[in-house]
Amino acid sequence: MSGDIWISLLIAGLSRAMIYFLLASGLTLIFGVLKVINFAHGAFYMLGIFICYSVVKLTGNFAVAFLIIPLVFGLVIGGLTETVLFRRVYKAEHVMQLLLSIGVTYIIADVVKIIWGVSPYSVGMPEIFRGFFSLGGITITKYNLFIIAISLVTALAMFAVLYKTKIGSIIRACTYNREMTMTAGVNVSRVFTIVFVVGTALAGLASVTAAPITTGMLGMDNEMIMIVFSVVIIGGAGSITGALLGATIIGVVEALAVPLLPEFAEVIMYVIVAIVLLFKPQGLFGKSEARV
Amino acid sequence: MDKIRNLQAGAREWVWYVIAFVILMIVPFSGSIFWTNLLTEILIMGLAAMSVNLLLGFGGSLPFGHAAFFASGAYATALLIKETNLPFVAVLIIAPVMAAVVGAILGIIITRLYEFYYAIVSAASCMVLWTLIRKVPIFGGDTGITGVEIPEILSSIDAMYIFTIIIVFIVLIFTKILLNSPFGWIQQAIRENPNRVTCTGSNVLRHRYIAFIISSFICGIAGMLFVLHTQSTFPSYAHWVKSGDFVMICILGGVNTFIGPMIGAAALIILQTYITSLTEHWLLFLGISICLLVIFMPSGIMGLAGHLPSKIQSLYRKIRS
Repeated sequence: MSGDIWISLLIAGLSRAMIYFLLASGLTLIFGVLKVINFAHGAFYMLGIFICYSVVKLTGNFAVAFLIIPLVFGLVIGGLTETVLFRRVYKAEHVMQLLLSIGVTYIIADVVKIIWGVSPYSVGMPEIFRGFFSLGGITITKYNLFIIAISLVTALAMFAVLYKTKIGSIIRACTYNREMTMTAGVNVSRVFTIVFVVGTALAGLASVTAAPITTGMLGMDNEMIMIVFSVVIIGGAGSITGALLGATIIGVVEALAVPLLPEFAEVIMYVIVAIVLLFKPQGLFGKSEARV
Repeated sequence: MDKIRNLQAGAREWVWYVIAFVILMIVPFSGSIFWTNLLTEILIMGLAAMSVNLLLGFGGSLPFGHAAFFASGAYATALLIKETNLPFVAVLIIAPVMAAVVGAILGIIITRLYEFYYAIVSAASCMVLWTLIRKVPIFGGDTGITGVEIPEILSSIDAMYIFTIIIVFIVLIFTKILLNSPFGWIQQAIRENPNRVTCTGSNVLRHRYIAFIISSFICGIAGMLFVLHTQSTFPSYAHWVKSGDFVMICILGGVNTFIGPMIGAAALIILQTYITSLTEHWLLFLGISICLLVIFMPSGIMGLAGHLPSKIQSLYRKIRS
């Protein structure tokens, strides 16, 4: 194969990577502040895709879905999950938190099955994004460019909020030392809710971004969550920069591995996780205290 | 201290095991195929959950990847019987050893990690195996391996049940002895505080590694028994959701008790059989049950049972006064 095709593949991989990043950033943000690993994040992603399908079908307009779903999704699903369930287990053993999030996964999976049935759905590609650019031999679909742009904007916005605003510094303070932040007069419980809602909204954003290029089907949540976990692990849990780097590594490797070893692309991904962990057990950007 | 006292119960506890063993041995003579089948499954799943509990309850780790060893044991058994002419007894030994070998390889990375990293990486290692099983032709792809022939002597439901009981009880006794040995004490000390154990001169990493291999060996036995019971094996055995089930069973039964996983397996499987006969939305039911369990009953059935006598006593006192 010629170089041009490889570059096209690379860009396709990069756009895939950015969807992983959107998911991983929400997960890693929640982990950083709440110290909870949310298995249900994959289920949120799946639910988002199905909701996106229904909204597009009802309104016939992708833009509406794109703007509204992440917001409503974060507030309703994220808000409910945090205030009704997760809030009760912050002080429990970690296995309880993991199990609880698995429980939420099961509930969402079955609700999706009840509402949408077992057949796969896909959201059609919106008019504006059809077609592709070509530069010499390199072809880039318009939508892939859009994904990369949206994700970079999101990443920039996250950094801006985390490092330039007051709520950002409160969130970072919570990551470092919860008790001290509480002593400083911060309503930590509310911060937790906000972070969980934002994290879930990011999952919603990932869903609507991925919807036009993904087929929604049952079981996709379980596979996606493992990829996102790998991203978080490679980058180091709790680090947004890590999530960006981890997602890029996983996405690009996956894209390049598919034409070379189509059957074992996933295995190669996990091998990379294993190699990274052998040399850096906390991930590339993880803090050295892996024993939380 | 409760946890320690649980283990030191000693002779009285052994009597209960003998009674349980005798009662379980009588079941086939009741003539109910349904219960014999169900109990076989409960014992096997209980054994798998017990291997998880060795690391979860007694080691303080978060093993979310034991489906990998369950599947290793299962696929090793199926392939050894189908593809080779090895005697059956050899299969019984080699299959769990294969699971232990898989455990030894994955353990190199997993046992170095703690907490969530441990959980996620063990779950991810499940998925590696799951992918390999589906893609490598010898494992039979998505349809798995069916029609595994077992020797004449085990072909009846009752015989398979008795065989399962005997193997499960042998493993239980071995595990009990192991947990009461210095090895078991260090295992529980690591749960409480790994740093202090290092200070006493024990090699925590090596200890965790050996415990991991033993646990994967036992889980491999459970996988092997399950194949002999159902005579087929599927890729879903290696999916991380299966590992989640094992952990769920442990919590349901009570993690800090030795016999908890068995009780949890009984409760979950009986419930599953009952609910699935009523509705197809078992998953929804399971999800809601997990949420309720975690929030309202974190010490599981055994924990609840432990509190019950004192609760009844206080109630009795209230009534009298």
